[in-house]
Formats: sequence, structure tokens, C-alpha cells
Amino acid sequence: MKIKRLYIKDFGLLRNQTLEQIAPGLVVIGGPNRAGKTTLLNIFRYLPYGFPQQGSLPPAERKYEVEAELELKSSGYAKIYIAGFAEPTVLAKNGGAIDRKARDLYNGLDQFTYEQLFTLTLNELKKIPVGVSGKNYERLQTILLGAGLTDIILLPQLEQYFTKEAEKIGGKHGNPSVGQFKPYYQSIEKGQQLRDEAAKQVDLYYHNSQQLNKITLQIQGLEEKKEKTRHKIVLLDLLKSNYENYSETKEIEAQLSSEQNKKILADYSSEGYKKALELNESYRELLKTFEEKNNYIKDLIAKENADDIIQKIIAKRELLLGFQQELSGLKVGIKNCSSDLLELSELNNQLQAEINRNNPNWQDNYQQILQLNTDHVSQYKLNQTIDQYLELKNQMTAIKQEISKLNERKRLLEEQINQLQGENPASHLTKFYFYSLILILIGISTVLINPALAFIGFAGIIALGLYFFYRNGLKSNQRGLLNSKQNEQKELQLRSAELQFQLKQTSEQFVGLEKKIKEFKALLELDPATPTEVVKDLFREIKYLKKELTNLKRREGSILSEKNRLEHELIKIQELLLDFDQELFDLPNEASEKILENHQQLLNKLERLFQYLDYALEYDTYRIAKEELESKIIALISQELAGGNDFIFRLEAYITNGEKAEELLQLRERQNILLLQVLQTLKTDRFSSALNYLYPKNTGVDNLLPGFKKLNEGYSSLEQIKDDYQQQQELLADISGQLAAQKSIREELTLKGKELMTTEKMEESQRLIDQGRSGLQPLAEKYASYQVAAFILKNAKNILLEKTPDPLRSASDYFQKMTSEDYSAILAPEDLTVPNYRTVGKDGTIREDSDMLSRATSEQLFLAVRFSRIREITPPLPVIIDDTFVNFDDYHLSHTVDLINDLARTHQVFLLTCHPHLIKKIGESEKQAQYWLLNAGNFKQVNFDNLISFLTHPMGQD
Amino acid sequence: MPILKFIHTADLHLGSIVHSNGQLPEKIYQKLINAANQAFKNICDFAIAEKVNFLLLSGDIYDHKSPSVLASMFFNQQCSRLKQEGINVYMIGGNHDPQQKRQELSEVADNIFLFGSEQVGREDVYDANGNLIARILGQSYRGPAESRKTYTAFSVPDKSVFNIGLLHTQLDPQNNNYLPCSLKDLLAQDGINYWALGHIHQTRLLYHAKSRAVAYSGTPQGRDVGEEGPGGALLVEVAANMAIKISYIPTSTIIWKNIELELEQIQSKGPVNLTDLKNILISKGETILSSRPEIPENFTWQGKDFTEIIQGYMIRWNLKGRGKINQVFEEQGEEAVTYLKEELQNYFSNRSPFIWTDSIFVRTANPLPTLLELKEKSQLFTEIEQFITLCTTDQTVKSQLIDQMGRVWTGNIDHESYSDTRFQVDDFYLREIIKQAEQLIIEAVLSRRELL
Repeated sequence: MKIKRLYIKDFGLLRNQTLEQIAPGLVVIGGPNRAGKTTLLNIFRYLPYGFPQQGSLPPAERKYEVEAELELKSSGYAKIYIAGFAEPTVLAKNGGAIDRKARDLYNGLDQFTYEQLFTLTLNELKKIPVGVSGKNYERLQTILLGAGLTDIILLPQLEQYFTKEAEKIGGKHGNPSVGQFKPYYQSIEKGQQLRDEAAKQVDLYYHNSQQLNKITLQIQGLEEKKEKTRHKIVLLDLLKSNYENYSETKEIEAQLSSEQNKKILADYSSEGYKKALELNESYRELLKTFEEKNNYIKDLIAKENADDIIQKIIAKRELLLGFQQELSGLKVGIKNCSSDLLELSELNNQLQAEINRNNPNWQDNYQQILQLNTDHVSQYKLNQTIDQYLELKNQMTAIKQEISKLNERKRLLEEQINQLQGENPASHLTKFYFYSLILILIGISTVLINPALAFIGFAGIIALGLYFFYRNGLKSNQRGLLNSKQNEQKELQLRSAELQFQLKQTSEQFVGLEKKIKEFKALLELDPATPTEVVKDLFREIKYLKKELTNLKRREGSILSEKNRLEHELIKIQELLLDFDQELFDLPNEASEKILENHQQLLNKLERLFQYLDYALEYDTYRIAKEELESKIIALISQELAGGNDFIFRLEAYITNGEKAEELLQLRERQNILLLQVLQTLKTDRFSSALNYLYPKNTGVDNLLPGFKKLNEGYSSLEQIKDDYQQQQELLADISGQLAAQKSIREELTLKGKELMTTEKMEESQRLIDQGRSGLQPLAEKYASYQVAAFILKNAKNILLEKTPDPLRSASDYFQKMTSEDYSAILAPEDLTVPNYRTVGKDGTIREDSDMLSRATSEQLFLAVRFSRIREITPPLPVIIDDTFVNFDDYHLSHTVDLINDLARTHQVFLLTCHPHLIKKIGESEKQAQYWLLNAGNFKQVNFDNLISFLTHPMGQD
Repeated sequence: MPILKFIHTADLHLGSIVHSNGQLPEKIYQKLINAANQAFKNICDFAIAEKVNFLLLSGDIYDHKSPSVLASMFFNQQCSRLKQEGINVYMIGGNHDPQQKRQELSEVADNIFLFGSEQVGREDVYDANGNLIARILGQSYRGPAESRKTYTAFSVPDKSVFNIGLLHTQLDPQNNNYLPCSLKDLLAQDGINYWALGHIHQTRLLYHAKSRAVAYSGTPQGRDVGEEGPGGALLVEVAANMAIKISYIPTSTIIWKNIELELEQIQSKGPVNLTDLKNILISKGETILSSRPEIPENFTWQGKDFTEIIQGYMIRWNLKGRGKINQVFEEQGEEAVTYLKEELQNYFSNRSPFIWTDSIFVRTANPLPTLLELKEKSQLFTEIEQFITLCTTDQTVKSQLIDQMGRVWTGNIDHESYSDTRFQVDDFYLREIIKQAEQLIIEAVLSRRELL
């Protein structure tokens, strides 16, 4: 596309300027400073895009207005019209708008690209042109390196971006302890610390439990030792407390072990000894008593033949004993009999008196009572009859009394009735009647005098009224009374008749009963005049007396029989006494008739005989006992007994040995007791457990005593035992102290163990770690994603670069030419995002940074790059160069002009300059350039010379 | 009727806690704390119910990062239960619980047979009639790393009895930290019928012929998203003719799941906003609850049904792909993620089993052309696409790439080299990150081009 015509109506310095027939190749526009060259450049720059509102554009006089006619290769013609800040419009030849954007006519290039590539000033030949910043770097690079490297240029940027994003998260190396990882890392760290603590806790627990086991073993050992000591103390205590007893048993043992004593014991019989003692004592006592008895009874009898009598008594003792047994009964019998006889007599007398009382007729012969036939008379019937009789009697009496009363009442009534019939009951009121009249009269008379006294008359009137009222009442009362009296009279009469009838009936019954009662009296032989009321009692009394009399008779018989028996017994006694010795008892030969009365004397003598009997028997008993004892003694001691009293002597000797044996046995007993006491103590749980503990082989009850003895053998004195005991006590105290301390430690360790076995720390540790990792992981993934993306891009970039042809080959050619081959190539920068090209010198050295180049060389470099890009963009677009070669030396400028001329063959190139030498160069090399003069905003097409001349002497020109 | 029945398990890591994020309800948190213990208890319950002959533990009973007294007590208590049933426990120490670092923190049950570290130990097992029915060989790690080829000394007097070898190994001949060996090496020890391996936390059956087998039991309870899926143990039954039958015993009460959702798939179902997305996630969660976890290696399963064991799921949601919903995430950022998390917690946390949303990773992007589409138009994208391919196929590039990812990442994907402050770049993460980088590049290049 070429600009054929340019009309500038209003743009800064340039107003109403037209450039007609603009050449399609090189167009040189020369003008002095401030002629409007840069203004023109801006027009060319913004022609396809519109003028920006922000920026440093020169102001319009009124409104920007520019018009350009373009010659398009394919479409022929188009006009671009810009007014103000509006979007440029594209017009057809006929002025009609075309639906196309102006930039489309410029190959769709964006404004930045066109500006950077096609509108060149010294600014554009800088490494980083002024106004290019931030993301425009990469755009510039993209532009300068070409479309082929667009993606490649992107990649470093993206790589950088991803890397930075990653670094935000996890720093340069993705260390989990930095950046956004940090809080989670710290959480994990904390968890790890807790875990370490928990692990240490477990270690501590282990050591704690080791210590605990050790302590437990120590405690076990101490407890065993304590137990052992305690048991030892028990044994020692036992030895101590039983030492004396045990010593005593040893002494006893010594005694028992002598030969003599052994023999005594061997011969000893406890039974025999006891028996000997008993026999000895018994015999001595017996002998003494025997002799006493013998002498006593002889003295008692006091006769020369006392022995005979005694023997006789003894011989007849059975008989005598029989009598003796009966004696008390006999006495009682006699006493009772006497008493009965006396009582009988008294009863008889009493009964007789009673009978006489009831019926004097029986005074002489009360036996008549027995004849009375009271059995046929029923007490009940008798009582009933009498009761009825009495009742009737009373009834009759009551009826008569009532009848009497009735009659009296009748008489009275009759009198009253008579009275009532003759009387005027109201007569007593007459006086009241007259008094009332008087009052009335007084009242009448006084009212004439004093009206206030009228009340007297009124009182009289009232009284009169009352009189009449009361009189009427009385009259009626009187009538009533009379009626009632008459009625009553009638009733009395009726009643009276009734009673009379009753009386008659009762009397008839009464007579019947009276007859019966008479019969009863006759039966009982009572006086008819006897009151009926007492007949009952009399009958009862008679029956009783009859019964008593019968009993009396019967009793009399038995008493007399008893009397006879007793007398017979007494006679027998007398005969017995006479049999022994008449003289002794002073008895008559025959029994007396009054033997019963005199029984006491007889019985006394009998009792004396009994006394003799007792003593004789006693004597005989002792005699027998004595003989028995003697036999026993003889049997006991030996059979070598000589006669006489030797046995007594031997018995005493026997007894003496026995005593000795007893003593020895007692000693043995004592020994046994002591040993038993010791054994009892040994059998206690306290000792047996102590012994079993210390000497487990010597267990069992049988081994207790031998064990004890053996223990004792270890000590020679009680003091020694006590000393040992004391020592053991002290040891026990010491062990107890140690044990308490160890147990305290064990408790602490146990508690500590419980604390240490808990898992809270581990759980918390895991929670922190899991939490940390949970937060860390997404970030780690994100970090990794960015880093991996960067890594991929980096590697992809390198691969692409390798595969992509050198984008700067053409630029290198330009550069080489511009620099007269001082430089052979331009290389792409390592960082494609930065336009920092490397250059290769003709000697092959590579300058890594364009800043290392001289200014002119650097400008040549960037110009060369641009030239190569300009050529790549098709179709060709106009290029505007505004005095960019000021730093080029003449030699290199010539080469550059050649390149410009070469460019102008394909592109429309507008070269704006104020330097005549540049124009000369162009004129020398390019004959077909078109020259324009721009002075103070005015354009004029001129020729080469004019332009040179003007620019050489601008002040001398119009 | 098998003559021998035993359970093979390993990598209990008692004392360790299932990883989680966020403020969990205490009820759920307690389940996570107890999950490892519960899994082991489930194993013991099963052992008692099945009246197995013994239990094998191929190392890493404890976790060196979570030493716990209570875990030790728990372990010994459970072994005491087994003792009451006449079941012995044969175990070796692994890299987490090597002999050097062994501390008995509680009273050790006397039915536990721990093989020493200095030489191969052997224990003979007899049946009730006194007949020898098995031999068990094992050797513990001396320290946290074990470079000795201890398996070479696993020799047996004869093959008439079922011989078992306990080994804790990476099964990598190049790795000198975890008992270097290969499958071939183990099979070369032809006296051993069954190699009970530990160290790898996934259940794997590496070899199974009639009377020989090599297997990793896997960990009974996965603790984080890296140990996704159910955990269990192996029940091994040996017939009279030495034929081996292996079944799987599910034991884990908590299952980690990593759920990926491609926006393009969601997008095809209609416009999507946060509410729609929430509903989709809920629907996905319901599907998880109603589905049955997959039994590894196609084993038949034994023991309790999953429904009786599983108490909950820990889920990491991965939203990927391109879609309009990405704009929501760009605009609302963390707020959108927080909203989704809260909605899901409210919906699922009180369920039984529960679902706990541990995290939601948003790796989405705006609808843009793919690299494949772009490369047709631009050499740049072609080169990017080719280079991206190299990133995963060329080890040198891959290595450089991983270095570039920062020190917060490490290329060492050995789970034993786990660091709290670093993430291991496995193939999954590498792909994800490269994909995200790709999306960043595409967006950035296209937007820059517009500017240009």
C-alpha cells in the first residue's frame, strides 16, 4: 500500500497542506528544525488508527482533520479520513464509506507494531524505546523477532510468570518451610515436636517401667527380708518368753533321769498309790471309829451281857427294822385315831343340836330323820308350788287393794258431779262486774269536768269487756268439766267389775295350792302352822341333816376298826421288848387294856431298842468295813505279808514310795505342762508360720518342739536371746524405713507411668501433622504445577527454538552491511522477552548485550532488525524514517542509505531529515527519489539541489 | 478337612492413628484412633472362632512414629486371649520394630514367639496328638534397615512337614534397606512351602502353586489415602496333601477412598452448580455405602461380612476436568470447597457406616481446548504435548521434573521414606500435576495470545 496523496487540513503546525502525487518509492522531506517533520511523522503514525486523546500530539487549530489517498495493490484505491479523535473512516473513490477499518488497509497491524516498525525515530532505535514498558517489551520483541517467534517469546514470559507464581507460594526451591507453605509447615513441625515428645514419653515410660520393675524387685527383696526378720523376731520373742519355762523343763528332765527315780516311777502305780492312801486313811479312821462305836454302845446298854444283847440285836435287826419302819406310821395312826374319835364325838353333838333345832320332836331320837322319805319329794316341785301360792296370795291382795281404791274414787266422783250440777261458776265474777260499772260512771262524770280524766271511763269499759269475756269462758269450762267427770265415773265402774272377776279366779287357784302345801308339811312331819314361806328351807335342811347323819355313822365304823388294829400292834411291840430283856425295858408280862392310851410309854421303850439297834448296826458296819479294808490292804501291798500289823508298816512304806513317785510325776507333769505351754505357743500361727518360713523343711506339728529345742541350743542365756532380739528389732525398723521409701518411689513411678502411657500427645501430634499436610498439599500441588509448567515451557521453548529457523538472519545481513561487516550476525537474546540482542563480531566474538555496543552500532542493530521485519510484512506498508542516522558516521551512513534505497524499491519510504549531507548521499545513490521541502509547516515539492541548498542555508531562504 | 489352619498378617502398626483432616466428631475420631487395634482384634476374634493352629505376624506390629504403651498392652492382651484358646503367635520384627529398638512396654504374653535377629530361628508346631504338623522359620530385623539376605538361611530338615518362612521385605533386590531379594530368590528356597511376607501394605498373592505360595497379607487397616481400600489378613488352610487354600479375612473398620470425578462426565448430565455438585457427591457417597468393597486378588472371603466390620469411610474427593463449575471455584475459592465439605459431613457423618470427607481437591479448569485439539493448530502445543509425554516416559526428564517440583516433593515413593513435610511423587501425582500444569499452560498461552 502506498500513500498517493496527503491532505492535512488541521494538525498542529500543518494546516491546509497537500502533498500531491507522492512518489511510490523514496520520498525525502527535508526541513529545518521545528518545520513540522515530527508532526508529519505523527500523522503517518496515527493515520490508520486515529489520533489518541492522551499523548503529546501538537494541538489542532480547530479540529484535527487529515485525509490520505492510498493506492492499494489489490483493491486499487481507498481514502482514509480522520476528523478529530474519531476512528478513521475509509472512503471509496466516490466518497462513500467503506465498511472497513483503516488498519485493515495496513495489513491489520496494530498501532504499536506499525509505530515500532514503520515509523522510525531515534527513539525506536533504542534497546527499549521510551514509552515501551511492561508487557509491551514482549510485544516489541514479538514484533522485532517476527511472528514465528511469537510463541517462543511468550514462553519465557510465561515461564517467568509461572516461576514467580510458584515462588510466591514456595520460594525458589519449593522448600516446605517458606512462603505460603510456612504456616502449614509450622503446624507439621509442631506436630513433629509433639510426636518426639510422645516418643520420648514412651521412652520415659519404658525407663520408668524398668525402674518400676527394679524397684518392685527391690521391694520384694526388702519385704522378704522384712518378713524373715519379723519371723526371726517372732522366734526370738518366743524363745525369750519361754526361756525360763524351757530351762525348768530341762531341770526336771535331769531329775527324772536318775536311776533311783526311774525305778520308783517304774514301780509306781498311781492307782495303787491312791488306793494305798485311801486305804491307809480309811483304815485309820475306821479303826478309830470302830473302837469308839464299840465302847459307846457297851456304855449305853450298860450291862454285862451287852455283847450278847448287841449280838441279839444284830441278829434280829430285820425284825427290828421292820418295826422301826412301821413306828412312825403307828404313831400317826394312833394320833389320827384319837383325833378321829374326838371329832366323831363333836360331830355327833352338833348334828343332834341341829336336828333338835329343826324339829324338837326328834330331840330324843334324831334317828327318825333317817326314816323321812324325802327322796320322793322333788325340791323343784315343792319350790314351784310354794312360789305360785305366794304369788297368788300377793295378786289377791293387790286386786283387793285396787278394788278398794276404785270404790273410794267412785264416791268422790259422785260428790263432784253433784257439786257441778248445782253451782254457778260465774258468781265469783259479780263483784268484778260492779266495779267495772262504777269505773265507767266515774269516768263519765269526770270527763265533763276534766276531759283528761276520760281514761277512767275507758278503763271501766275495758274491765267490763273483760268481765263478759271471762264469764263466757267460765261457763264453757264448767260444762266441759262436768262431762269429763261423768265419763270417768263410767270407766271406774267398768274397771271395778273387771277386778271382781279376777279376784274370784285367783282365789280358786289359791285354795288348790294351799292344799298341796299342807300335804308337804305332813310328809315332813312339820307343824301345819309352820309358815309356808319356810317350808322350802326346812325341806332342804332336813335332806341335809339326813345325809350328814348317814355319813357320821359310816365314819364311826371305820374309826373303831382302826383302833382295834392299833391296839393289836402295840401288843406285838410289847412282846418283842420282852423277848430281849424284860429287866432292861421294865415291862409287864401281859398287855394292858389301856394299852392304846398308854401307848407312848411302850413306844418310847421301843425307840430305845431302836437306838440300840442303830448303834449296834453301826458298830457292825464298822467291824465289817474294818475287815474289808484289811483285806484290801493286804491284797495291795504284797503277798509276803506276815501276820499282825506288819501290813501297816509295809503300807506306809508303799505310800512313801508312792509320794515320791507322785512328786516325780508332778514334776513330769509340770514338765509336760511347760512343754505344752511352749507347744501351744509354738502351735500358734505366729510361731508356726515363722518357723515354716525360716525352716521350711521342718514343718509339721511334730517338728515344732524339736525345732524349738534346736533354736534354744543356739543360745546359752536369756541375755543372749534378748540381745539378738534387740538387734533384729533394729534391723526390722531399718528395713521398714527402706521399704516405705521404696514404696513411695514405686507409687510415684506408677503414677508417672500412668501419665506417660497416655496418647494425647501422639493424637494431637497426628492431628497437627495431618492438618498441616492437608493444607500443604494443595499448595504443594499448585507450586509444583507452576514449576512444572515453567519447566515444560522452558524445555518446549528450547525445542521450538531449535526447530524454528533463525529469525534474525535477514537482520543479520542488514546489520552486517550497515556495519561494513564489522559485525557478522545478530543473535536472539537468551531472554527473548527482552530486546537484548547479541552480536557476533567479524572475529566471532559474541557480545551478549547490546549495551556493550556503541550508540551508532546499537542503532544500526535495531535499524537492521526493523528493516528485516519491515520486509517480512506484506503487502509492503509505507515506512517513515525521521532523522535516525545522526549518529552514523559517513561511511556507515552510506551503507545505510544503500539499504534505504533498496527498501524504497519495494516500500514507500518517507525520509524526514534536516541534514543536507544525508540528502546528498541519497541523491548520489538514488536518482528517483522525490524531494519535498517542509518549512514552517508548508510543503513544497522541490528538486534535490533546492532542497540541499535550503537545508544548507535555511535562513537565507524564503 | 485341613490338617493345618493359620492366619497370616503383618504391618499392624498398632498405636498409629488413621490420618484425618478437619474437626472430626469425637465419636468418629475415636474410631480412627482405635481402628488399628480393632483390626487386630478382629483378626484375633476370627482366629478364636476358627480355632486356627497359630497366628503369623510378619513384622511391623508397631509403628516407630507412633510408639505407644497402650498399643503394647493391647497387643499383649489380645495375645493372652489367644493363649487361652491354645493359639500361639509367631512373629518377627520389621523395620518399624527391629530387635535393636525393641522395648517391651508391657508384660509379654508367653504364647508369643519372637524370632531373634542374629540368626534364623525355628519353631516346630504339633497337633493335639503330638504330631509335628508345621515348622515356622523367621528372623527379625536387627535395625531399621536390613541388608542381610537372611532368607538364604531358611533351611529345613525335610519337606515332609509344611514349612513356613516369615520375612519382612520389599522384594526388591536393589533395595538394601528392606532385605534385598526377589520372588525368584524366595522360590529357590524350595523347602519353604509358604512365604509369609510383610512390609508391603497391599494384599498380594505373588505365587500360588499347589503346595507353595508367596503372599503379602497387606496391612489390616489402611491409615491414609495411600493405603486405599479394605484391609485384611489371610487365612491359609493346608490339606493333608499339602495343598494350600488361601482366603481373605476383612478386618479394617475404616476404609480410605480416593474418589475421582471428571467434570466432563458430570457436565454431560446437565448444568452444574454447587448444589448440583453436592448432590452428585452425595449420590456417589450413597453408592459407596451400598457397595461392597472389593476383595483383593479375587480371594474368597472368610469371617464376618463387611457390613458387620466397616464403621466408616474416609474420602478424598478429586474433582477434575474442565467445566463451568470451575468458575464457581475460581470465584469462591476455599468457600466453595468448605461449603461442599460441610454439606457432605452433615449428610454422612452420623450415618453408620459414616462417610467423612477428608478433603476435596479441586483440579478443575475452565472449558478450553485440549492439548490434542490445540496441537493441530500450533507447533508450540505440539512441542508441549510431546515434551509432556517425555516427562512420564523418560527417566531423566522425569527426574528433572521432580526436582523442579520443589523440595516439598520427593521422588522417593518408598512409603517407609515418608516425610511429614514432603509429598511423594508417585505416578498418580505426577500425572495430576502435569495435567494441571498443562491446563495452566493452555490457559496462559491462549490468554496471552489474545493480548498480543
